[in-house]
Amino acid sequence: MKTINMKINGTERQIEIDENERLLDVIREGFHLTGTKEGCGEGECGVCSVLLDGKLVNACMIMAFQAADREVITIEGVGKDGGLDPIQQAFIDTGAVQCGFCTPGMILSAKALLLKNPTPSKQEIRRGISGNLCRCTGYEKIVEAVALASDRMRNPEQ
Amino acid sequence: MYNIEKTYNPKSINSLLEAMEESGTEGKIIAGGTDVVVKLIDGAINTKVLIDVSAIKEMQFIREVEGKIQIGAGTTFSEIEDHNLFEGRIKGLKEGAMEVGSPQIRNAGTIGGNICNASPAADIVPPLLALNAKVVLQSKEGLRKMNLEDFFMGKGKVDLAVGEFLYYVEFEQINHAQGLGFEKLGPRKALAISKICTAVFIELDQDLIVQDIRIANGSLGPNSLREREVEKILKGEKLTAELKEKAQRAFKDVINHRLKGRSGVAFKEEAIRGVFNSALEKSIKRALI
Amino acid sequence: MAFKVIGENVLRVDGHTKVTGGAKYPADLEMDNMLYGKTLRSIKAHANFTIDTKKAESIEGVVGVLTAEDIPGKNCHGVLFKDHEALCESKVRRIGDPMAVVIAESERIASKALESIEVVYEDLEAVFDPEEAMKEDAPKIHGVDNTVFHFKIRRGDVEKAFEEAAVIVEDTYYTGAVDHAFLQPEAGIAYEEEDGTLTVVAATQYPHFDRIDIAGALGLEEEQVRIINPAVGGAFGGREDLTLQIHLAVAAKKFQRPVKMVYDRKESFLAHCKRHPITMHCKTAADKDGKLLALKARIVGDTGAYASWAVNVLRKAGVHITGPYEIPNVWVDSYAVYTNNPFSGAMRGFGATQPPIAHEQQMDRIAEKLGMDPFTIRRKNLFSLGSKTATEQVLKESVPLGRCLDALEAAMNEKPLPDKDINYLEDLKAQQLKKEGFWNEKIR
Repeated sequence: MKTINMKINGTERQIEIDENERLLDVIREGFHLTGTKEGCGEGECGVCSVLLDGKLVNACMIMAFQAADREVITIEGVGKDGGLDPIQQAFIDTGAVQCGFCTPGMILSAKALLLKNPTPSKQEIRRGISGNLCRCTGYEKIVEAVALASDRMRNPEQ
Repeated sequence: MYNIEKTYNPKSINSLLEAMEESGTEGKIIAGGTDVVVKLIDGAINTKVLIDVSAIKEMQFIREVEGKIQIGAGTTFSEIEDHNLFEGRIKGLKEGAMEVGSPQIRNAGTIGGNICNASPAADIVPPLLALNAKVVLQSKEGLRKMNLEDFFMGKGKVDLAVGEFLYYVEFEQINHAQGLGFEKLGPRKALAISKICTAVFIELDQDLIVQDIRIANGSLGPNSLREREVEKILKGEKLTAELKEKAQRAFKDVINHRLKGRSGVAFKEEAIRGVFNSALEKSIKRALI
Repeated sequence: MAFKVIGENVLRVDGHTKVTGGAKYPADLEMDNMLYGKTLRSIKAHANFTIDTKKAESIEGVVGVLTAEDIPGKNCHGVLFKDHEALCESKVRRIGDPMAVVIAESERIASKALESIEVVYEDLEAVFDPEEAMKEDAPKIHGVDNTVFHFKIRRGDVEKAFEEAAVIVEDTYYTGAVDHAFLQPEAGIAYEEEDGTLTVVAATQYPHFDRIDIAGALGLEEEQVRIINPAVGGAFGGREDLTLQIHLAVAAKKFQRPVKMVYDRKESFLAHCKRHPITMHCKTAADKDGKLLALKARIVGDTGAYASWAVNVLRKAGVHITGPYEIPNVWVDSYAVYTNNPFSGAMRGFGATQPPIAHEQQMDRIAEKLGMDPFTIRRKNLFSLGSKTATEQVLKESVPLGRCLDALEAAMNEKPLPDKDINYLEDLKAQQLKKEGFWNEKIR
């Protein structure tokens, strides 16, 4: 066992971890933030996507001890002031949510993409979410949602 | 089932060397984790000690020193992809980085990890081989430099001594009339392990005579490797449609011979021609920038 | 009357919880005093076995190991036939068959204890090819004939039609097994409520069927069992058969504590059904104008170790093998057969997905033989309003296939495929001339 510091969704926390735990285990079981999912455990599906120091990563392929002294943002930390992030709202409005299991990871991928490139083309959106699978195959709506979010973030008065 | 008993988070090369000395043969370096964690869970590696190098800033750099480009082993694929040094004639390297996994994997995975993992399908390795890259290894004893090609010792094996780690890779900046092309074929666009990937470095003179050429393939042997037989056909010859056709045929024959008896050779044959052709054409186009 | 829903955009009721990460899938549930289960699965395709769990039970943190002996009621389940054992008693029929479940204080302890269960297998002759399995002397997977189901269509006189035909195409087509790979691997939690009701929370497609089988296995009345279906991370047919539900229920009842199980991806692949691999032998005849005259088909579906929905799937495959085409003379034999392969069941399309691989290639090849355009031959034979199918069903409502073909053809003609044969080298010289001075600038 080992105690590490981690900033999670804006709050500095100290947590005891087992050396065998992955970052995903600490998020789900240590911090009880179950919005981050496990689908494949080997980086294929993207449902465990989180932001680590602002960068999109698979929490299933990073050991917990590697996240010491770093900042993690999960789906629970995406919204602001108790409200929804424009990306979350766009997912609801376009019908981009089906079974919902890919949704948190998709939203984080979209978040990372729009932080880096606020006006992505459809092609860039597809590349931005290429590490996330949607087995309901709702990709069209998801791409539409990200485009809508991008549009709304640039034209907030709409 | 894996059982990690001790972990290290060195923040500098000195403390990394200390951690490596302390853990001896038990210590396993982990960087982005995209290979190591999967292997731990699968039981493919069995270690009690993990040493994380992802927080060592001294290993994260892309710089140009006296005409040579050096990339720190801890540099991620995303950092290579986003760096303006890899535009233009040398874009083949960036293309290799862009083909790795997914945004998530490119943000975590490192060039050093991709090399040391010694997978036959490592996407960044063929462009590095085509660039004649060297690896610089560091241990308590000091630095050791060798050809990347000689660093590989078969599937999953590299020439690293106990207490030694990959510090950076180095290759000459690409010059006027030289170009690097890359092409990959995988079962789908993202998160695909290469079925084949090819990198071509070419240098042309004013009469379109191939002054120098280096061709490297991934996924067609125990490690990525140079295709010297095909290089021989092109080197010193004038670039014509006939020569290209001849090289394609030779390329196909070499691969056929190597893959003899494997399933899907008939399918691979066509794919190989296309991938090689594309990498070659890109290299030529870039040499003419 | 005004519609509130039809014609309107309706927001999903669960949209908000799903975009915020608040939606609870079974693996997200936690209870106080919870135990964890891990399943031991067969590594043999067909074998008798004996099992010794003593060593595993003695490990600290293990509260018990469930085997077939611990099932208080009927040790069987299944959507059509009760041919699955919740935990195999003495024989395994496929790789991945569940044999025991370790119940422990933590997931890690349960996983480690699995390694300490001792199993002795006695290999039985196995059969992996359904054609072989149909033979009389084939190993019997369930002690009875391996042919689970035989569906027939007999319409008109196919042999006579073959004699009169201008063209006949005959070949065999194969499709492979496919996994649903729904994103959320199987997970669940079970507990006994204060009034004695046994509650099982698991992602499922049939809470009512689950309740029948769980009650049966526990020897309880259906009213004593409650199924809660939380958020489900995809299913596509793969959650129609039971996986961990009975294991959870038995453990919760036996140890009087909440029990949770979560599969990883690998176990998920082992646990649930696949799409039926189907072999389709088709003989199709047409006259010189491309009008279809007859189809004779033999369809063999590999249902693997368990029947699941094999009857429904192979019936549907038999009905759909004509394709969406009018054929006056049809003879179909469609079989579902047990083998020692992974078991097959429901998956999107349910037996209608495989036949197009056969009938559409048949159509293309008939067209080729007649020198006819692939669109033309299809239009000549397509179902339309009032058509009769091979099973004499009259199509009375919307049959928009013609429109679909028109749209397809238009789209194909609209964008020609990119020309990949642009020979780059042809342009080299020109480029070189354009870049006057390029070579003089050369550094080396």
